[in-house]
Amino acid sequence: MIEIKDMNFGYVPQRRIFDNLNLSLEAGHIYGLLGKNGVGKTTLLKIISGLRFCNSGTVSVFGMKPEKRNPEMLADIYFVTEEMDVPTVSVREYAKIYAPFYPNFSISDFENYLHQFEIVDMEQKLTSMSHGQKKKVLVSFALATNTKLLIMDEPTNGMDIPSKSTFRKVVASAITDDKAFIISTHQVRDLQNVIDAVLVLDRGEILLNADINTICDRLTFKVLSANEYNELSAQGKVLYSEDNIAGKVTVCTHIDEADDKFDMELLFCATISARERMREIFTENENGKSRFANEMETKLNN
Amino acid sequence: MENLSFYRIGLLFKRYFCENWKKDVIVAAIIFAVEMLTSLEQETSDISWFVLFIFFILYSGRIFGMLGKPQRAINYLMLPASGCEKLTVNLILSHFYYPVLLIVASCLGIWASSFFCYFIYDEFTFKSINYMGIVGSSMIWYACLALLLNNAIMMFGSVYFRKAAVIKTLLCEAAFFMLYAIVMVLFIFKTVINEMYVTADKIEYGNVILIVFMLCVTVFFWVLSYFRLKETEA
Repeated sequence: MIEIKDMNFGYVPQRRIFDNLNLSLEAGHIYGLLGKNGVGKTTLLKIISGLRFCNSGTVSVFGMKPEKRNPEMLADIYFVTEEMDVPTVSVREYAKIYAPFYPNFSISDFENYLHQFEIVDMEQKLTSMSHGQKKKVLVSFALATNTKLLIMDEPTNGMDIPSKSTFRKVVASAITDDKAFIISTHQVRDLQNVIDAVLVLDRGEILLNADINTICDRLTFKVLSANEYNELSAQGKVLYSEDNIAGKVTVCTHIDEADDKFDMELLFCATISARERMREIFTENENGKSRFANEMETKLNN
Repeated sequence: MENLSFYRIGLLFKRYFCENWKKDVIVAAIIFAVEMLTSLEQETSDISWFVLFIFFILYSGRIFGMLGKPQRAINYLMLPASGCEKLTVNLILSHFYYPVLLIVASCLGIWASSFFCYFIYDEFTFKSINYMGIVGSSMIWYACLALLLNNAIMMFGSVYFRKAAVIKTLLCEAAFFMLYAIVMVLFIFKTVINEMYVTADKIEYGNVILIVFMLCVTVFFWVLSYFRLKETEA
């Protein structure tokens, strides 16, 4: 669906944000785009949607160049920005004006999502709504467009706690095999249960692009006692750890029969702090296996 | 060149009118009131042309004003319509719809003042629109062309400059026409000195050149606006 090859981009030529960035995204996934502040998450989303043009390299979305801003391509992309600017119209009028641009828009889906977000007054003016309410309307509209690619930049910012739960529910219900959602966020705990693939962006490159199953196959997230930690650390299996009341919360290479729970925040910290190890674990060779997976296989065979 | 879809053009018009009809009605009401009040004591109105001109400039100079605000720019550029369709809609709005709206409001204001005069002075004097004597004379075509050219330049300015587009465009326009005037004066001076006479044929020929020049520059700025819009980033 999205192919980025050797892409370079910088707002000024001397300072590149992306340096030979490569990325491939497929339909049927909800991607979580994670990265530190100023690392270029929003810029990457803008390049994918044709709002920014890369300096060199190729970007392809549905086989088209996004910078051309082809209407057929735009009709299959929806971008929910972090900050919003809405016209002085009611929710119903908004749908009436903008829905015809999107051929797969479903008014029943829109009403259903609004209902789930407890937006009941379709006649209320968008400008008179709170930030969170506007976001709910725009997220509902975005999901109802049924575009193949839905990009959301910090979608849960400004939403109250019940709405975040509703957000997870509606997003999970809206994904199909022919769609891809990219959600850029710092609120990893808000979206942990909805994201099924993780992209970590750091220093101009994609450090990690893997689905949750692969991550859980190759990493273990576990609270360890001091002795366990020392033992694993001596074996060089610990990638990242932090102290909490229960012990050491640790991300380590896969341990057999571990009863672990995936933690996206820890994964992000591990990816940033142990870049090379993570690259070794997740970079696949020509057989489609990582060096780590090969080692595991050899051990099991022996 | 991109293909044009009349369906999408229709949607863009619908979007514009749904979001802006109130603003346009207010502006038309202001013009109506100004025209009516300034025409009450006069046989013809010459004052309000300036107000109209200011409104034309402000409108054309801000027709792509949404590109100056990041969120609005994203919303606009992400609308599923081609650059050509977006430009066509804004061109029609700034070059034809808005001038017609304001001129109609202006005429209605003048005729309303005639109607009121009938009650005040007990005599009916039908007043006509007469901006500096242009309306009704052959100058009307030059005025229309000048308006078209000015709107094309202002539209380009609105898509080119992010901040204070109207002021920056006016400054550039003033500089350009000052240069143009200097060149023309020098050209005429040279012609007069060399030939010592200007025939009616030459004036006619000069007028044709002026019309062609104005039309070419207008189209030039439309094309320039198109490419600028295509390359605009948000």
